[in-house]
Amino acid sequence: MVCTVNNIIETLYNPEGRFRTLTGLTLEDAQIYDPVFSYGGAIVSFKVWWNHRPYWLKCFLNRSTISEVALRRVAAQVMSMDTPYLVDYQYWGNEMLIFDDLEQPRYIDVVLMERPEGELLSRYLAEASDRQDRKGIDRVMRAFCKLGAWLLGADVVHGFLKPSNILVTPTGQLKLLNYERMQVPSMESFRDKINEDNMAVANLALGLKVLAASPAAFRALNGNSIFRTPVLRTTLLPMLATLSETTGCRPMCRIVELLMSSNYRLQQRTTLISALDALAEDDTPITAEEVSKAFTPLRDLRDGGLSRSTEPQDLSRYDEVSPVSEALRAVEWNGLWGYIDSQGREVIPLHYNWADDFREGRAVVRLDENFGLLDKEGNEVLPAVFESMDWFPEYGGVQAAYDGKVGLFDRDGQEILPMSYDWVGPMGPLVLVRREGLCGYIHPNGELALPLQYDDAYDFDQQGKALVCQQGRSFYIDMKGNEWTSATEEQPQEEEELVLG
Amino acid sequence: MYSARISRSNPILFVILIDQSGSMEELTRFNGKLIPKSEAVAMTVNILISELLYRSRREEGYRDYFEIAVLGYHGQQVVPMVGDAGHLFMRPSELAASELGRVKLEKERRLPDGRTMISVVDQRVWIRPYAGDKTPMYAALLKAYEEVKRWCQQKNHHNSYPPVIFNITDGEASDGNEAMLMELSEQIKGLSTGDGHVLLMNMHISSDQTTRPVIFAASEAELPDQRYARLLYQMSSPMPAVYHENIRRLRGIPGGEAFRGMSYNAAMTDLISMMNIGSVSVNLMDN
Repeated sequence: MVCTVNNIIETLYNPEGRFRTLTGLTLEDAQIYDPVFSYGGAIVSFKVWWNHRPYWLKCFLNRSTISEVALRRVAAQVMSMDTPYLVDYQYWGNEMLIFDDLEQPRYIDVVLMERPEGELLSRYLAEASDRQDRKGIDRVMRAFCKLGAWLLGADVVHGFLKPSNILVTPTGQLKLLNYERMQVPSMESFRDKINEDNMAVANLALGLKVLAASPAAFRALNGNSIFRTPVLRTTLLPMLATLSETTGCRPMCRIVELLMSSNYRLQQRTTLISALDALAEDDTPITAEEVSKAFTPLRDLRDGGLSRSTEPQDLSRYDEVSPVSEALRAVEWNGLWGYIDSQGREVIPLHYNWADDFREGRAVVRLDENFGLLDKEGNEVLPAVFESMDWFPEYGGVQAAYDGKVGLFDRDGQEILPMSYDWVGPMGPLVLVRREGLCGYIHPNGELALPLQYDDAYDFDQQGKALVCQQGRSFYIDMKGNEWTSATEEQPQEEEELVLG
Repeated sequence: MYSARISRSNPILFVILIDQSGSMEELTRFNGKLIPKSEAVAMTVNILISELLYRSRREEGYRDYFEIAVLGYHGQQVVPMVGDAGHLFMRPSELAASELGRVKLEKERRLPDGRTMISVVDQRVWIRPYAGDKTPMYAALLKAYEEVKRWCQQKNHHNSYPPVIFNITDGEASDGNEAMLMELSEQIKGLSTGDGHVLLMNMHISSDQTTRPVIFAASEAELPDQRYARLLYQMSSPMPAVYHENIRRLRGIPGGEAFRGMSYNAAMTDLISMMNIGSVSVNLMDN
């Protein structure tokens, strides 16, 4: 039955007889009934101690979301590699006894991940930027470039590189954490995914270089969102190009060129590795003023620069005030919405009936009953003629409906998907669509992948399977449309039937 | 449909309606002990709230992935059991700061090696039990309809997973006849977000362990020959396919497609399982 976090917590506070091998495992602060843990991706991660060493204990609530075989392979690969950049990662199948919500006992799989002393890069940067620690961030930037160069040349793809998956130890050593999306050579998909870390590595290296020159940029650029690919894609890259050119920082120039010339699907690993090696050793001086100047196009920087401390504004004159998003605030007075900047100036007049927050330089607004899309100057990127409009971060654009049909537009108002479907699902390797009561799947470029023949259908999961219903029957399909009886089945039904036949 | 990912900008809404009529004072078995149904139900809802809260917890703290209203009904009243009349829908960040206390739950566990151990769980408490007077279920469903309708109409909920309403009861409505309840439940089930219709789950519980419980009935033929069982079946939502695998596992019967979100004569363990299936089983908060 359903395994819950409550079930796992019960075991961890009553561990006697509950572990096959990890006996003696204890929760950090076990005397207080408030376990230190976090949750995400159907994985609950607890801070624990075992054999006098600190670990994260990762418990998997749902086997179908994470492949047991893949995790075993990742653990075997990680434990065989002698590198300071990875931590111990041990997979223990059928290890921990829980009692499910029907009070039935069963063993679940766990991973024990080493927990070295240190802090996550996300938190380190927040604190270092607040104390204007340029040297500290510079050291981390150089260490990251070395880590990145190592990672791109190693036999692993991390698959989920971000500041909260990188640890900074007290000695300044960086370590990668959380390998659930890792790809290793023993996996069939490894070759296809070998370049998956490239964008994130390039993005992090450039972001850290900027922060090392101007720690204040961390807060001014909305913290760790500086490392998000959509932000890089839509906002930061031109400014990074300006900064690298004006300062003459050649390794930065090289990485920016790689990003710009690759349509954001960076595949030149060898070139990127040498640029990272060069950036790790580069001493081109970059000043906070140069960063501020290069980033001037960002509205929040234009109003005073990166080191400006924002004065509190008098917002009492408005009936509703939204949080600041991309340096602008949606505000409402007397039923009409518009936007103000950090100094309280109305930069987009209050004449909309509703206004959403800005995302990637665009905001959805409603005029009477119709929705449109604005840029930060208040120009209509898409006119207010649509019945509904929602920002889709996965697309970097909006999903809009007109005359009952849904289509997709990019942030410049260009059509990605024509308005011919009744419903379009979230972005994935294949996108779920529905028309006239039947569901099917399209490629992200709009081409039909699987015909509209299902009465109901769901998104593809991480194992590449999707639950569908057809003529009263539910079953799983893979991305070629082959039928499977369950999400975790090893062979498709058709093949099995062929063998049996 | 029923595939929207839950996020802070697209949260999910749960509404739990709890029968607090006098019959809820009857004893039922919960964690091996006989306690009033009102206490067992309150503890079950506390367990569900803590589970939802746990699943909203990230490295930096709680994220507001869901909103929840818990409404008790007794006499002629429908009363909020978390939050207040002016603020019915509570978010994780608010729930985390508003627990009323903790109670120690003891559970007897038989380990695979044959030993019997007592597990002690420190359960967080948000709602307290109450039992007395009549069963104004119609008024409770009407309140749920009005609040959920308002929630669905908000522009920023258009892309949200459809709200899920759990109605936990041990008896019949004292304030509405069959036709009124059917009409209202159809109106509730007709509410929707862009991702599908609202799910209404009616969970009838019983302390009589000699009666056979019906869980997620796959057809009316599974029900006992009782008018009220059929009414609850008809009032309840057909469960979308994404829930079917877990429902089949809970029922222990292979096959079946047209499951209704209902139970009749369910025990407390069934209630916990059903609420877990209706809330956390589809891993919607797992991004």
